[in-house]
Order: sequence, then C-alpha cells, then structure tokens
Amino acid sequence: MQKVVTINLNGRAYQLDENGYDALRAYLDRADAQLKDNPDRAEIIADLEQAIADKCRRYFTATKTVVEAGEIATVLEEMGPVVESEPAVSDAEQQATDGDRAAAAQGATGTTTDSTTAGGSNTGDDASSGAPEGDRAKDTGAPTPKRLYRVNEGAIFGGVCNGLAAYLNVDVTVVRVIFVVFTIAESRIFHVSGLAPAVYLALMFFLPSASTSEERAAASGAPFNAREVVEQAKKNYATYRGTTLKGNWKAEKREWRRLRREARRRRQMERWGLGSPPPPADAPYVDYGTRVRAGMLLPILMLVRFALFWTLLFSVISVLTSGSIRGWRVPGDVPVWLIVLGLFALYNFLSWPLRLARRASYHALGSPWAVRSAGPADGLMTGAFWIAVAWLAYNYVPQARAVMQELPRMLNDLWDKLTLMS
Amino acid sequence: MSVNERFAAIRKGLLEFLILRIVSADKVYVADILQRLSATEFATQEGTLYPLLSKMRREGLVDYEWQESEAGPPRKYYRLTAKGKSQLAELNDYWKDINTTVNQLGR
Repeated sequence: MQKVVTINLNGRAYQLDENGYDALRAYLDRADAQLKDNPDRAEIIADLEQAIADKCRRYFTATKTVVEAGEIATVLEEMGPVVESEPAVSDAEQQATDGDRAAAAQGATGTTTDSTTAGGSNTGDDASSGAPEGDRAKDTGAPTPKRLYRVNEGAIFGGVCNGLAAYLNVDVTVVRVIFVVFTIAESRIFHVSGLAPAVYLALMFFLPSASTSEERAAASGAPFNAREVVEQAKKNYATYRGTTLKGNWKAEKREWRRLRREARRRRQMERWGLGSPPPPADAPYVDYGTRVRAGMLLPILMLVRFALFWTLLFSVISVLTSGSIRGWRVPGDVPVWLIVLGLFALYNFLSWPLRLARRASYHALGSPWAVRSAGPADGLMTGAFWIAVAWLAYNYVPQARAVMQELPRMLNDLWDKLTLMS
Repeated sequence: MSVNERFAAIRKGLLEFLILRIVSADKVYVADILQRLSATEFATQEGTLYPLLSKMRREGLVDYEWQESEAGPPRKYYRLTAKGKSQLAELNDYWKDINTTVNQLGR
C-alpha cells in the first residue's frame, strides 16, 4: 500500500503515489537548478508542468485516478532532461556540471530568499516581458475553485471563523470581531438570540475541515501547483535538515511515541465499539459534496440514535412500572423479562443500519474527525451538545420538561421494584 | 563513434533553424513542433524545447499568443516576429551555401 499525494498541475488535481511524487519533485528540482540563471525560469517550469499534466491525463480511466510511479517515470522519460539552451556550454561540459549544479541549488534552498524568489515574485517579473497580464494568470494555473472549509490551523474553537476569513480573504480577527459583536447585539437588533452560535455550531458540523494542503489552498482559492508543492517540500526539507543534526534522536523518539499512542487509540476505539478508525493517510479521496453530506448526516444520525435509545429506556421503565407501553397493555401471560429482552432486540435491530450509516459518515469525513471523535476534546464537545439539547428541550418542550421532572420518581419506582423482586 | 554521435553537435546547432522553419510555415504550439520533429533525426523532447523556445523568445525571434483549446487548458501558439523572419531568410541562404559547398567538394 502506498501513500497518495494530491497535487495540482495548472488547475487540475492529480494524485500520484509517493514514489511518483518523489520522482516528479526530483525532476522539477533538477529543472529548477538547471534554469537557475534563466530569467524565464518560472514560465518554463510552468510550461513543463503543463506538459507533464497533459501526458498524465492519458493514464486516467473511470476507475483509475492515481498516476503510478512507473507511469510518471515514462512521462518524465518522454519529457527528457531539462537542458538550458545557452550556446556557450557544450553538451559534454553540460553533462559534467549537471550534478554539481543540482547539488549547489539544493544547498542554496536552505536560505529563505531563494525559496521566495522561486515562487511568486518571478511570475510577476516576466509578465512585463511576455504575454499580457490577463493571460499570465492562466499560465500559473487557473485558480483552484474556492470552497468553504473549516481551517484548524490557528483556530480558536472549531475553525469556522478561520475558514470564513480564508474564503473571504480578510483577516481572521475581523471575522471574529464581527461574530462576537453580532452574538452580543443580535438580540437588540434582530430580536433573536443564539442565532450566531447556532449558525457557528451548524457550520462546524457541516463544513469539512481542510486537511490536505490542496484543500487549504482551495479554502482561500489560491492557485496551487506542483511548484508550490516543491517549494513547500524544499522549505520542509531545509528545516528538517536544520534540525536533523541536533534533533534527530528526539524526533525519532517523538515519532515512535506518536505511533504507540495511535495504536493504543485504535485498540480503545475497537473496544468501545466505535469500529476501527479509517486508516489515517490512505483514506480514499472523498469529494467535497460527499463530505458536506456526511457532515450533515452525522448529527442527524446522532439525534435519531439518541431518540431511539431513550425510547427504549422509557419503554423498559414503563413496562416495569405500569405493565404497559403508551396504552398498549402487555398480555398477562407473557413474562416481563421477555418483553424487556424483546425491546432490546428491537432496539439493536433498528439501530443497526444507523450504526452502519454513522460509520460510513465517519469514513467519508476522513481521519481527523473520526480519530478525534474518540478523543477527550470531542467527548467534551459531545457532552456540551447534549446538555444544550437537554436545556433547550427542558425550556421549550413541555412534554420533555414533564418527562424530565418525572425522571427521578420513575427511577425511584424502578429501584423499588428491583429491590422488591430480589 | 557512430554517425549519430558525430553529428550531435551539428544537429543541436541546426535545431533552432528547424524550429524557425516549422514556426514560419504555420502557427504551431509545442506539441505540434515535437510531432513534426519526432519522425526525423531531430527528434526532441519537451525538456529541451521549452528552454530553447524561451531563449528564442527572449532574443525576439518568436512570440506566442494564448489560444483556447477544446481539450484542456489554453495553449501557447508560436509565430515568427519580423526579426525572426529576417533571421530565417539569412539562415536559409546560409544553409543553401553550405549545401552547395558540401556538394561541390568531392563526391
């Protein structure tokens, strides 16, 4: 099994397996190094990316969406090595200096200046020398479709404000201030209360969180192509190399601890009947729409299950206390324990498809949600959610209020019956 | 040393000339150029052609314009500039001279 890396070559998403990605990155790195002194470097790289993308397209079928390492190798073979066409250097010399230059460029990427000039600013420069400004945008890749995501990096609560800020391209503080002001002032202006928090909660459940770098790019609609991935990878590499000398041992220990923690959590989830969590990295790609639907479905499923569970509980209590369920009298010759057993069986039967649907939703939402759902933070969240539901029901649904007020008495009755039986 | 290797430098030198000829005949994009060259001794790959075209554009011999395509993203279509045309005329003449010389010297 191989990890899949999603990249965007000129506005289209491509999935490569890890080896293929490494090969492509190495190729583009080399190209970058070759064209180090070329004023049109960014443009040429963009052209090369486009050509690679075009060549990759033939490997896709309805069922196959990942470009494999072998296919990337073929594509790069067809592309041929990137040769700087300065007439001064002869073929043989060029071959000899190839490796040195690549190595030199690798070393140079550690400095931040090199990383930044290779990225955005170069494309700005050659706008003046070539096609008109409008066409330039197409060159660097059509902007990724903008989508509303939750952005958890730098989030305070659920990342909704953060996602909105990315989507609207404003500072997150502005969104937060507007949110807080609206929360405080909404009762005065619109004569409603709790609307903003409710909307926030709803969005927190519905919106998928941007977990891949491509989705993070889509959250702000930024163009995102292989070059950026490469730049990012280079930066990561540089920082990795910076820490590797003194922090290698620590990092390894940390990684080892993380793996152990993950294994433990997996075991716990299985024990709690939450099902095995989806594999974190190799989860199949699920599109935005499915994730939104899954996000909406999950709370509904939770509510239905909750209702079902309480129905069961009250039915059992009602059978035990009064021998009838909502006016339906239990036939006299059927023992009470059989009725109770039957109710449990019925509950299991009814909740079985719900469990399946819930598990499917978790899978669709991807690992962060599913894995975290067993964590303490999510437990708190779920607790808070149910307290909120109970509070609302107590205040606004008279029947629910009556039931809740009845609850202590019913439990007392149940206790009495049980103690009497023994 | 095979004939192929012996003429590598010459082919490399002639590539720019051939591209000028191809571009002068028709408005083409990179895949067209590669396709025209593919069946010949001058078969070239993207890795070579893109930097070369970029250099020729910097020297003012060719220019490109964007055109939408039915399949996929817009393409760069190359054409000769005035400078490119005069350069091509010069090279054509020179090439004829070389051919004449080669044919005249021995047999």
